[in-house]
Amino acid sequence: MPELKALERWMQASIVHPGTIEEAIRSRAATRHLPLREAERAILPSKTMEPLERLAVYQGMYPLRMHDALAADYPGVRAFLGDHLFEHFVADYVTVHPSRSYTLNRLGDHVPDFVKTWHHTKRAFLADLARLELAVTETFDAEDDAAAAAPPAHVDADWEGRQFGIAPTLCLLSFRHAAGPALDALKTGRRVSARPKASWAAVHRRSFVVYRLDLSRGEFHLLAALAAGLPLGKALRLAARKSGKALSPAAVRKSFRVWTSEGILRG
Amino acid sequence: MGDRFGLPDLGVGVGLRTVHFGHILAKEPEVDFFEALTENFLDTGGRPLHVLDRVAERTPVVLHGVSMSIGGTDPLDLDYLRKVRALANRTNALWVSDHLCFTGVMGRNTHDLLPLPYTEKTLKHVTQRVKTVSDLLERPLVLENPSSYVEFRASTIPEWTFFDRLLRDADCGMLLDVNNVYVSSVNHGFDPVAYIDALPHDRVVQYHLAGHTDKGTYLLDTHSAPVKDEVWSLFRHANALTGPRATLLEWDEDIPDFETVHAEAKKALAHRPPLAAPRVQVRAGARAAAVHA
Repeated sequence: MPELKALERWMQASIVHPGTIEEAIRSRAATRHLPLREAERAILPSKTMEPLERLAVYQGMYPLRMHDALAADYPGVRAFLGDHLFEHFVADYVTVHPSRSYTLNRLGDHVPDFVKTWHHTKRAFLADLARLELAVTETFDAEDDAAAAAPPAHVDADWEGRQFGIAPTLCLLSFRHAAGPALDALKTGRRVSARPKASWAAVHRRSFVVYRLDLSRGEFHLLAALAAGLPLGKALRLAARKSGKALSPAAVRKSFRVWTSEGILRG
Repeated sequence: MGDRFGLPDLGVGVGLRTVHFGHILAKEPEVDFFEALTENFLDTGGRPLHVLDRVAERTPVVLHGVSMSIGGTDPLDLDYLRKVRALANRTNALWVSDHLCFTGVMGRNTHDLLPLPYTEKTLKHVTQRVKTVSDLLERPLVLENPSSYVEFRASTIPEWTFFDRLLRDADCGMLLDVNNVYVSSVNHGFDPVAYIDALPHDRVVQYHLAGHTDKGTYLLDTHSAPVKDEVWSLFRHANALTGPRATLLEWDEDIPDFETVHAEAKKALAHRPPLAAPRVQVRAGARAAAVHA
């Protein structure tokens, strides 16, 4: 009789195999733990099912669980690919990146990198979309300090030296494609353009709800500089240099009003 | 019959599910207890943990996990177990439960409750791991009987005997899932009443009830439907042997609104007595002491 370790490794190798159950128990991954002759005898038949049919119950449920977990975290990627192609994507993905965590919440951590190498003509767009969706799930679970004070309503005379607290959940993202508007469109069943178009976004959480704020290039660099701890004066100069254009005072005031009301900027 | 650990009958509870968060926070429904899926509340500083904290302030909570892999042959995940202990302490969970199964090996997690061959070697292996986990969690580990779809030729001990010996040898509790007993009894052709009769009844700490799906050649434990009559019948039989125990309805697919799930759970009151006395409202810091059977 097989040892417990061999039996467990064989069963796992068999049920995660993407082919038929017959192919699974003949695969190298399975037979290295249990030779085929032993494998065929490892499971008892029931009154209504042959041994391999019974094993196939587990094999059939595995991809469904992986699919459901990734579909929940990547609704935009799924909508863009369509159900059929997304199923193939999931199968390819979990072969390379099977779950190694106690939670399925981490299953999709490698999707943005994986999709860059996947055989799809729009993989660069898909990578941007996946990066945005991963940011949303990570922000959902991020630690926050909801008790942090809001910044003062009026900036005093020493505004250049003023530093701001930043919401710990803030995630700043720059894309080669319009990932944010594309995600909005995909969620409502509209078609999207996957053509390159640079875009920027802030993902953050307020009152346990995740929000996305689309940013201009200048806003992105300003917020990034503030998040890095630079005082306002230096942050504005750095943002102007990186984006090639200074934000107007009116634009800065407007951005600060939004960022303050959104809870991104704190005291 | 009292239970081995002196744990209270918490009454009839409901699983804490994301789709019901809004209702639970807004309406604060009177529920005897909530069961939280452990892994959903680890590694999050977001809304799930916030909701669990609010719930635990006023209602007893128990933790139910799916990734302990107590029968696995990989080393126990001590980091995971420490996080479970921290969550149990945070919520004053009276007990922590998981399943008699393995969930993955070689560093992988299939996120399924995979059955074990019931042998002397397996019993020794699992017993040792349960003792280690119980020590680490600093509270009783309660193990649930899984529903299963295969039986190993290597098994030499019936599942009910395996449980009987494991519960005594490892000094742990049992979460008796009556639906799982029924599902497995049909799939493997054993007598579910004999299964229940053979268990050490003083070690049953909690019951699970759920619906299943008939797939034609086997039953699948889907948690997607009301409890079947055959399962209610088994539940009554088990209750007569164990006395009332914390009873929870699981509903995890096609989840209806909270009131529907709660109403389905409360059907258990037709098959078991209600709580002996109104429970004192739970307050943070005095929670464990305030819960009475």
